[in-house]
Amino acid sequence: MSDFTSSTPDDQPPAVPNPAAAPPPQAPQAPMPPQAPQAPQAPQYQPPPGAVQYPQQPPGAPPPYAQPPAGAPAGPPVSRQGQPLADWGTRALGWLVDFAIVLPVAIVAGIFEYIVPFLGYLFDLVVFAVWVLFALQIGDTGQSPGMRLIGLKCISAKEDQTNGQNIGGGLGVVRLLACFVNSIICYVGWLFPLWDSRRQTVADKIMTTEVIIVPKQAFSLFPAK
Amino acid sequence: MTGAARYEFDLTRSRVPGAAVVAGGLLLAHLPSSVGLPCPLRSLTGVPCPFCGSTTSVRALFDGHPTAALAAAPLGIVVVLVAALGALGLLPKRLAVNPAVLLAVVALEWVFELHRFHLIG
Repeated sequence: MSDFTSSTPDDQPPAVPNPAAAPPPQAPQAPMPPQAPQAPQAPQYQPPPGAVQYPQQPPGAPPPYAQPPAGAPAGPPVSRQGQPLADWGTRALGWLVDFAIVLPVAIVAGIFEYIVPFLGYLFDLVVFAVWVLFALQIGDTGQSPGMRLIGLKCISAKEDQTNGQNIGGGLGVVRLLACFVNSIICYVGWLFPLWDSRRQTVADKIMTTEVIIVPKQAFSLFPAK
Repeated sequence: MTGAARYEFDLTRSRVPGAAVVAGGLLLAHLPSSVGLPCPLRSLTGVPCPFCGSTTSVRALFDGHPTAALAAAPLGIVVVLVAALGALGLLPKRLAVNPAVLLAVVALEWVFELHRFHLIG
């Protein structure tokens, strides 16, 4: 996580270095006479001998999951774009930040439910509205305030062109409702990333989403324009 | 993803969660029985979920009452055993299981809980 410091736009995966697109190494700028023969062109990039070559993918198809070479130590699982999937602890931290934002309103709602029940229910609606707002942000930008702060992003894991992209605000709200399934079974659904090979909760399984690690941002309630 | 028909467990980081479950179980055995998260499904509908009784089972096991643990939820005993093996680093790093087997285990546990709460047979 700490070595993941490159800054990239929210909607784009980190750029993968492409040796073929890189400029050829500059020759030393020695004084040359006019009409001197040009330095030989840099050869086209060729993969090193023994490198794994993936078969040609049809246009629009997501890249295959990266597989470590046989015998290599297994690293954290990664998305199809190569970003590491967030573990349970990191995801829990992001959720705790969001929960800390909602908690004061929830406490007020709880107090009012005993004094003036109608006002208490109104505050309950405010709490739900804030979660919906966060869900819309997760759908539109991949990140809630807590996820921006901790450096997490929710992406689509579908086996089509949307793989790695934001799921959209509407599906973000549906994902929030799917999180109800995480809770309804004694909260076991929230623990799935502890043992799941794709580090998904039950809601992630339902919605076919994954949470990846991205560069952290300063705290803000709303995503930067 | 080696095969779409298998559910893959990634247990490479099972030491800390396993130790946390064992420590939590030891602590739970010394706390009042009222301590624990209520099941949302049971609170809302009165119907237990497949994992209901697990806290009671773990508490009973660490309190030295394996029979009571079995009567509350067999899955609780499995959880403690797996957690202990995980804490000791004795679990395989990866495990691929047929999802039908997992669903069958969960379904059996649910039937057990429904019977325990006198909702069936």
